[in-house]
Amino acid sequence: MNAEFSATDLLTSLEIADGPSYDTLPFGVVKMTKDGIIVAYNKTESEIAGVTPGNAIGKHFFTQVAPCTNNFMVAERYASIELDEEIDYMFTYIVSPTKVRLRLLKSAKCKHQYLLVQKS
Amino acid sequence: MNDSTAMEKQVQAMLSIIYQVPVGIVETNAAGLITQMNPKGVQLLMPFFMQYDLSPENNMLLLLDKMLPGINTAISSFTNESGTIVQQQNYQVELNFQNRQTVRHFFFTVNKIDSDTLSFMFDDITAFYEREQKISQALQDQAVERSKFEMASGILHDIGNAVVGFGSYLTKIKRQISQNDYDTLKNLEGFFLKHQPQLISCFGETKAHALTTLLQGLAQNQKNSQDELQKALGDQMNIVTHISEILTLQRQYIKGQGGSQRAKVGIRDIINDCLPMLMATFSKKNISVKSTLPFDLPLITGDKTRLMQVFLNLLKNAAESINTDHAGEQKIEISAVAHPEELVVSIQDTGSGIDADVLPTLFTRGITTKTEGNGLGLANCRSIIESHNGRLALQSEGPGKGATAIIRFKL
Repeated sequence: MNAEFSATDLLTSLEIADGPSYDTLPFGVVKMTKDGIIVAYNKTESEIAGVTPGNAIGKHFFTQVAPCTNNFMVAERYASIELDEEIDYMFTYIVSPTKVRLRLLKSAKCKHQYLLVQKS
Repeated sequence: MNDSTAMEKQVQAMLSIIYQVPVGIVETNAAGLITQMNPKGVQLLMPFFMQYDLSPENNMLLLLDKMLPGINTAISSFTNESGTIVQQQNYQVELNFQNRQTVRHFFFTVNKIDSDTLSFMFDDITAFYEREQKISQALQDQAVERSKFEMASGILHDIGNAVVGFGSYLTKIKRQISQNDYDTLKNLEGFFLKHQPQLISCFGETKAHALTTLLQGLAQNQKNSQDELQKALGDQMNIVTHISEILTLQRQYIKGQGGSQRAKVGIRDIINDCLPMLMATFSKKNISVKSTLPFDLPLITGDKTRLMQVFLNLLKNAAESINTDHAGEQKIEISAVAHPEELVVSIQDTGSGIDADVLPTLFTRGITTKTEGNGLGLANCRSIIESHNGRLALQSEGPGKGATAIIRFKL
């Protein structure tokens, strides 16, 4: 799979593609159910956050895998039915702060919701 | 399993723990540059970094300078090589972000690890703080309520003493007027009649008869006055007894205030206790009250004080809705029926009735149709009845057609 972080039709492309194909993307991809349970966690995301896909898939993203996002700036934004926003944020690799840019994606037309992560 | 896989597993296990640490932890150098930070720390501080447009700086001291400058002052005035600078201090901070303005409460602990390392531990304790405030407010309200009831109890006690004193005084007057001159006058009348011939010889027949007749009139007047006074005093004593009974009831119910006391209670007894308290109101408005409450109504489990508040309120509302200028008989009818699963009590009045538009709003706090009401009566009544596993409804066919309060208790 090949796509730009800010591409306009990215949500549709991600929804069509399968989990392993996300590993070729240069930014982190977290694919979640609309309840926040991780169904795909790509290689780049694993490198940024330090969490292996095996330890991420099946867990709740906002409370178990990335509690740093569990606030109104990120997690609560997913209460919207339609969402496509980019914000500057901070992740922790183990405990090292890492500046990132996040793209929050969700649509009523898609079964899943996504969080894309790009190192600043 | 090779060493790197084992190490990876350990890291992942450690991550799971670090990610669940329930407080924010940040480590910085002496200049405030963040070197380590746990996810909870990011979660709590990111909104503030954004608020102060400090994200690229990644500097804790710059953030605190805007967010909580007092902590920076404490840090800069701390001269020891290491030690605790701030210990579990609570702070209030405003969070304004994306049109959301809130006040948050944080605790902070700041330690100087060495000359070039600071550690910060913190958490957002707003929910805990608000809960504490609510509990504190509830305790205060409870104390105020208790003191009100203590005051009311004291006043009732004093009035009770005064009423007893007044009753004793009336009894004394009654006793005194019973020892009046009527009997003496009657004896004198008898004496005059017995010695009529002597009187005639002294005063002449006409005068002697007139004297006896005068004496008879005086005795009769005295008798009439005595009877009237006795009757008036009897009425006064009945009123005093009635007031005493009401005071006793009020004191009995005031004793039950300040806490919920559930026991088996009889609705008939409660309503019968309410009626004397409102008798003056009913009588003033010439309202006839018809209560048909069967003796064998089933008991319900409840707080008799709270239920009495409800029935007093409903009966008072019924009485207040009745306009004295209105022609025809004004009445309040109280009835109750026990079904296998519920006990239904109705209070029906011939008052001013309720507009269909107003009816649904009457149980809303703050809504009232009275000029001097605060709109809490019916809302409180409903909440008390619901706390007794019951329902309270008001029915009216419209203005001028009276209203009926229906209370249903599940059995």
